Amino acid sequence: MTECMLASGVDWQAWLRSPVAAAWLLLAVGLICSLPRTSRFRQRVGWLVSAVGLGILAGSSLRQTGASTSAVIFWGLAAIAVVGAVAAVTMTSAVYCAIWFAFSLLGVAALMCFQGAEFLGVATLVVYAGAIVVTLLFVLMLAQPRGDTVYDRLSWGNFPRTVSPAISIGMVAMLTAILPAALAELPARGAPATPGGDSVARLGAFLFTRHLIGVELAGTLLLAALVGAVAITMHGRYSIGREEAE
Amino acid sequence: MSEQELLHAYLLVGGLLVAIGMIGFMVRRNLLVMFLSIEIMLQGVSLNLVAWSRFHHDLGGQVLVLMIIAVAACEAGIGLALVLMLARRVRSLDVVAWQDLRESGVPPHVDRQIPEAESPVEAWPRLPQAGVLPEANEEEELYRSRV
Repeated sequence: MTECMLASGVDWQAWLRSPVAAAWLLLAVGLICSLPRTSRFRQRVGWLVSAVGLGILAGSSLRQTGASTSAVIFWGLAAIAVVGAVAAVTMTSAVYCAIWFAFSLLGVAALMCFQGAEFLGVATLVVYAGAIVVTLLFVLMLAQPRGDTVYDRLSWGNFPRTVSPAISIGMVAMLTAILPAALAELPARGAPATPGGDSVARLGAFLFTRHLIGVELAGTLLLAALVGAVAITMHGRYSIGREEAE
Repeated sequence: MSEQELLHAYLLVGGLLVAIGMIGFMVRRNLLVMFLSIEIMLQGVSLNLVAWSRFHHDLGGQVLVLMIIAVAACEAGIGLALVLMLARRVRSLDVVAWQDLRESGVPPHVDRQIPEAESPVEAWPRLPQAGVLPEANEEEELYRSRV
């Protein structure tokens, strides 16, 4: 572990004193406080603290790159994606979780478009926000008892609620601290040859020449999943009918 | 932003999304919210792939994201059907209801502090009674859906 950290070529002591480390710490503490719990006040404080942490992260990155228009747009979209994700994970009511998840998806789709992957952005929006979230709300309507349930407000208890944010955020913090040194070794690249424009056509040509078998496999998989989902629900209905008959 | 800075920023956001999804999966107990957390993790991975695809001028990353979307759609169909079936059996979306499936020798999970149920404020409008009570039509009761 120590050898790995030394070999990464990062000055860890300087990193620990930097505002970025403080931002990650704030984010972890905020998430620990804001995960579902019985006290609403602590949850609100947690949201505030994690928002401050995210703000410091975005701000320090903006200071490094300079506040150009594209950087400001990027961090605005990233804020939508990340804030939506945090809210989707921490909200007590499952309906709010689904709606915040859809909000986060808007940010992710916009980020993909921002990067010249227009088709993927639209596909994400259609498949996730259009289909998956609606299906999810439908299932929620059928299955969820009304109001905030006890298990949504409790989650697993204090130990997982504390340890899992600490470990996950710690992992991401360390990996992103290594990033600048690792990226510096990569050869510098220019912008893509044809930004925007016919990117969808190029993707389509690439998809249907190089990866034709993959496309066919994905189609078969979708068909199999469709049949499987119908079989599962039908089976459930039959067995319940039998129990009631007995 | 230069390409390097853009890649760095995208990797940062993708990593954050994966971490948040992982936290949600490990902490939440609602089956549907756990499912949502998995989807958040997939979003983070997709962002990473798109960023690398742009950096290397290689469309393979975008094709991989398309495959991820297809698999996620399959997963949503089957996963939500399973959740619906499980929820019909025990009438709740709680994962703890299925803790009989845990490893042998592991003590069961018991909630330490159970919060009091918040009584929702129900201010229904009151209407004065008017007219006569309609006769119960037993034949109609037989075929009318109770949903």
